This record gives sequence, structure tokens and C-alpha cells, in this order.
Amino acid sequence: MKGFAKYFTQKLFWYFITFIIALLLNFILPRLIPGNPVDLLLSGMLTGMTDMSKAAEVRQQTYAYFGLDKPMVQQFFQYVTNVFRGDWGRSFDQYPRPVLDILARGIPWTIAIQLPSILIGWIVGNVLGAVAAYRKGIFDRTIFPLSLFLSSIPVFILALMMKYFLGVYTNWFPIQGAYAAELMPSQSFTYYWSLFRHWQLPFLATTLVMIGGQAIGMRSMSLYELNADYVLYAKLLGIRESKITGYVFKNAVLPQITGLALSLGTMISGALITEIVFSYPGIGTQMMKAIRNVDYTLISGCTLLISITVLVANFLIEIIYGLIDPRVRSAQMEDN
Amino acid sequence: MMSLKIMFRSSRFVTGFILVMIVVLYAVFYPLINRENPKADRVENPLYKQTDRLRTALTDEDYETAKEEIEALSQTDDETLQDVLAQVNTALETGRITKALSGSKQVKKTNPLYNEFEKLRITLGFDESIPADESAARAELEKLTVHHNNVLAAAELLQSGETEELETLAEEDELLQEELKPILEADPSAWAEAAGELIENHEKTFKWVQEIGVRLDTESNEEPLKALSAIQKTLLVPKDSPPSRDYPLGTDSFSRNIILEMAYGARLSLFVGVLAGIIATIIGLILGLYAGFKGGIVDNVITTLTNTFIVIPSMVILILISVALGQVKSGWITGLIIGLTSWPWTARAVRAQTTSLRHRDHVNMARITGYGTAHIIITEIMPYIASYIVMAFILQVASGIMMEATIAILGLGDPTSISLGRMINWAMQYEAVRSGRWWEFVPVALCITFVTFGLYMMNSGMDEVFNPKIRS
Repeated sequence: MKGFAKYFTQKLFWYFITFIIALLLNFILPRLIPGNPVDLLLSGMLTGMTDMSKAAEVRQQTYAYFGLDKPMVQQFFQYVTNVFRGDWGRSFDQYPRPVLDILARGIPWTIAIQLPSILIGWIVGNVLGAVAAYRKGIFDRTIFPLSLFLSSIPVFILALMMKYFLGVYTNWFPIQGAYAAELMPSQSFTYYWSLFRHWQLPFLATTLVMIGGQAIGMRSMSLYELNADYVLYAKLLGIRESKITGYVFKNAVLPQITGLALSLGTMISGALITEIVFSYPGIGTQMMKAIRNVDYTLISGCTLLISITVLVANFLIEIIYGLIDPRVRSAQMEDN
Repeated sequence: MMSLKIMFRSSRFVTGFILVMIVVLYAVFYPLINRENPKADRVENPLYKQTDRLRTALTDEDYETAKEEIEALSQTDDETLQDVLAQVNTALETGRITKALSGSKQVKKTNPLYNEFEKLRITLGFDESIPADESAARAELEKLTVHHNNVLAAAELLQSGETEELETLAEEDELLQEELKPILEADPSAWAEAAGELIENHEKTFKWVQEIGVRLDTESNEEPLKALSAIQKTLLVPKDSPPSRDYPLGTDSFSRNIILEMAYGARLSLFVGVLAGIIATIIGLILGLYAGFKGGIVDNVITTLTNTFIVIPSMVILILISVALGQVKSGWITGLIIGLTSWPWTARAVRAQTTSLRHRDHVNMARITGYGTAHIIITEIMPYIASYIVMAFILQVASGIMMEATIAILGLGDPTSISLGRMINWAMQYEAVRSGRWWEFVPVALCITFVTFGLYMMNSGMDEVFNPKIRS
């Protein structure tokens, strides 16, 4: 366990550094905006105020409230403390709602689309990729170009086309929102049915892209393994075909599991544009609203949320890999 | 050059190459054929300018010029435009209410009716500071008509000399009273002559009253002008019009010609993609080669940096930088930012490749011979990873184009520049998808798909050629 403990602390250290860098970027970049956001907020508050000394006082108070009167370094530490305490600031546009509150409302919708589509897309994609690699011939000639097409077409294009052809043109699916506009959330069948209907198109769009990418990856990994020396050797030894196939796919699917974990980690940011296309009320739509309304705190809240989820997912993947595969551990130790 | 030829042996590469070239050729050459301004909207349309001259002439009541403009415009073969022109023409020929009113201005101040006409002018909105009041104008016209009839009756009575009835008539009409006063005070022998003069005077002014009444009943003064503005807005350069002979891909919500706009959009998207690809590849290449070749502490530092930036989603950095920069953004800056955020993948891949080559015999030989690091990297290592670099570059270009589109769809960046992503953003903002105006986004979507799918095909074709292990 000594080796793993060392590996773990080393990883933890590097991820901590990376996290600080991510925080730094989230802290500095919004502060580079010409005419900083607080001045923008202030100009709204100060319009119509005639008393100059009173206006100066309000400015002073607001600066103090946002901590802008302190030196940058101190501001950064304040920012980090606030982030850890769960105080991500308040939305400018939907003042005084806390940013974290708005994000928390968006997350379930995003997960509702992303989690099933990642899981189903991963399974279907890998099966298709394996079939294409193993059966070759007509399977490969149809599955491969199709998967390549699905994985190369930007997801927002696919979503847009599906919205138009399956939603607007044929009128098969509802095209926007999470449920029919006239419904109120309730425990009724109509509400759940409406939820399901509205969920279908965005789910389908993200799933198709996932299938494409996974099938491509699985196909090339399987081909790589099928052409490996050990397969030829095993064949020469007279080992049964089915047994060899088992070995091949076990090896081929390993990197794919990393892909699955990474997709789960980037879940929050994975469907940004798809959500926007379908006006689905997840993080993506929140972010676009924030950008349209120049809601700086909400924008940096979104980016911070994305950074954190990706970092945590990556960290967990590396730790789990280190735990189950000693080779990774030793390779990493040599590296560093 | 050898390796280039090999690439073209892969049918997949060739297909992808053709797809990409279709878009490239279109983006490069179409604007050379069609030299119009892609941002041309109604104002810059020559027909609009012409109708605008007609409009000015009409509002200035310069009817001579207006007729000339109509003459010139009737040469065009636009049916709806012709209809409007006909309307304007009739309005001009039958005379207009303003003309009638300006005629009524000739009524002299000494005329007892002067004040009444002044009232009429005000109710008709002749004085722009007071809004027109049609019902008041009609009441005024009615009053004037009644008065006219009274005058006619009074003149007849004067001629026959029946003063008693004349008095009862004058009791109801103050104006008439005023007018009759000087006549009745004079000698009765002059009455007949005065009556004739009275009729003559009133006939002249009543002509205006009648004309104003007719104009009020038949049509509003503003109608031809309104029709003209309507046509200027929608017809000359139609907004959201489906594909037609003049506009092969229709027009968008800004009345822009989509086939031309899209060519410029594809130009910018391709430019941003290639620029981002070049920058990302150069940075990734230098860092990857250097780290891989040098090893040790240099490698450690660079690898850590690379891993850090791989883990922080480039999308986040991109969004934050775009927000920070606001709208001051050209294609160069967009490409630069995307390039600066997407190098880590190339760096990681190049480093891995270089590390595996580092201790090959020919590299060691070069090292022993005493060549410098740069020389060894260029002559001994680069040739082995060249195909790899080209493939990474192709993928970087594809992802650069997608990144640019994503930023534009999110509504970041310069809202006035035309790119493929921006066109999608406009289509979404102006509800083109929901209203089924497919020509505003399907061709753009196809354009992006051709490029990205084509680039992926090229990449995959090259992979097949240079990486025999994954050949099926």
C-alpha cells in the first residue's frame, strides 16, 4: 500500500495545483472585462442620484461589499474561501438569487439528458464498433462511415437538424422546453408524459453523437488488438476462436472504460449547445442566458462548475486506475 | 512528396479531401464571381435608393420629380412594385388633399370664411404640431356646406328682394349675418349685383370644400406613401424569402443573400480553423518535441503544464476569454485564442511519439556526431512523426471550426462578423427553425458538416495508410 499512498499523494498534489490554476483563471479573466461588472451594476444603482457625496458613498460601500477595495491577492484569497464556503456570489441579472441556487436548478435537467445518453451511447457504440472490427465486410463498410459521420458532425448541427426535421417538419416531437408550456409541474401522468416527450429529442441527439465516437474508438482498438502478435500466436497454438475473441475484446474495451469515465466527468459541459438548441433548462441554457444578459457572476459560476466537475472526474479516474492497474502506477512513478 | 501521393491512394482520404475542397473553392471563388457586399441589406439596394427618391419627392410635394421617378421605376419588371406605382400615380393625378388645402390657403384674410378654413386646416393636420382630427374636419366641412347652401338661398332672396325671409335665414347662420350686413346697409338697387358677387366668391371657395370632402371619403392622404414604405421594407430585397432565381439560397432575416453571406461565413470559419490549427500545432509540436527529446526535468515541467491544461476544459478558458474581450474581436484574435487553448492534446501526442524515438540508433548516432538539438529534431525525429503531425493538424482545424461555431452560438464574440456559427446563431435567434425557414440554417449546417466530416475522413484515411496495424 506504500506505493499507492505515494501515488495518491502525488496525484492529489498535482490536482490541487491544477485546481488553483483553474480558480485563478476563473478569478482573473472576468476581472479583465473593460469597465468591470461592479461598475456596471453601480451605474444602474446611481442613475437618478443627484447628491454627489451620497453617490460616492454608495460606490464606496458597493466596492467594499464586493471586496474590490482590497489588493488583488487578498481578493483572490477571499474568492477561494467563498468558493469553498459555497458562496459563489449572487446573479446580476436575477439579483439577489445566489448563483449556486440557479446552477442547482439546472443540474438535474442536464443530468437527465446526459447520464442515460452517455451510458446507452457507450454500450451501443462499443457493440457496433466491435461488430464492425470483428465481422468486417459489409458491417464495417456501413457502421464505420456512419459512425465517423456521427462523431464528426458537430452535435449542435445534429441537434438543429433533428429539431427541424423530426420536430418542426414532421411534427413528431415537441421542440423546446422540458415540458409543455401550459403545464405546471405536478404528480400527474400528463406532466410525466410531457416530460418524457420533451426529453426524447435532446436525448437522441447526444446519444447518437456518443454512439458515433465510441464506435470509432472501439473499432480501431479492436482492430489494433486483432492485428497484435499475441492473436496470431494464439491462433497458431490452436486456441479456440471464441476464446481469442474474448481476450481481444477484454483488452480493447479497457481504454474505452476510461472514455466512459471521462464522458461522465464532462457530463455537465457535454450538452451545452444541445440544451440551447432545444431550450432545455439545463446548465447550457442557463449559461447562454447569462451571456446574453451579461450576468458575469453566473457566467463564472457556470465555468467554475464545469472546471470542478471535470477536475474531480479526472482525479477519480486516475486514482481508480492506480488502484486497479499497478502498471499505471509504476509508469507514473517513473514519469514523475 | 512521396507520402502525399500515398495519402491519395486511400479512397476515404480522397472523399474527405473532395468534401473539404468543395467548401474551400466555394468560399474562395464565389465572392469573386458575385462581387456584391455580403452585408448588403435594403439600404444599399439600388432599387431601394430609387424608391427612396420617389418617397422624398412625394413628401416634399415635388410632383414633377415624383412623376419622373415613377417613369424610371416603371422600367423594372416587379409586379407588386408596379401596383404600388400605379396607386401613387392615381393619387398624383386626382390631386391630393394637401394640394386642396394649399389651394384653400388662397382664401384671403378679409374673407369672412378665412377663419373657418383656418379651423379646417388645423383639424386636417396641416399644422404638424396639432394632430389631425378627422371627425372634427368632417363637422367643419358639413358646416361649410350648410353655409354654402345658405349663401345660395340668400342670394336668391336678395335678387327677389324678400328681406323678411332673409332675416330668418341669417338668424341661424352667424357667418351669413356678417356677410349680409354691408349688403343690406347699402341701397336695395345694388342688391342683385351684390348677390351675384357673393355667389361667385363662394363658388370659388366651395370648390375646395368639395374636393377636401371627396379626398377624405376616398382615401387617406398617407396611403400611397404607406404602400411605398411597405414595399421598401419587404419587397425589394425580401426578408426571409425562400430560394428563388435571384437568391439561390434565399435571404435571411437581415435580407441578406444567403449564398453570398455563407461564402464569407465559410471563409471566416475556415480561416479561424486553419489559424487555430497552425498555432495549436506549432505550440504543441515545439513543447512536445522538446520535452520528449530532452527528457528529465524539462520533460517533467512541460508534461505537468500540458496535463494541467488538458484537465482544465478549454471550453471554459475560451468562454472566459471571450467574455473578457467583449466584442472587440477579429478572426485573427478568435483563431489565436482557440489555438492557444487547444495545443495540449498535440503536445501530449507528439511527446509520446518523440519519447519512443529518442533512443533510436540513428538519433544516437546524430547525437554522437555532435549535431545540435534543433538539427537532430528536424532531421532525425520530425520525418518519423510528420504524418502524425499532419493528422493532428487536420483534427485541430476541425475542432477549431467547431469551437468557433460554439462560441458564436453561445452569443459570444463579435456580433457583426459573418461566420458559419454566427449564421446558425442568427437563425436560432430569429426563430428560423421554428417557423420552418430551412434555407436559413440547412445550407449552413451542410457547409459545416462538409468541412468537419471531410476533415475527419481525411484524418481517418491517413490513419489507415500510415498505421497498418488498424487496417481492417
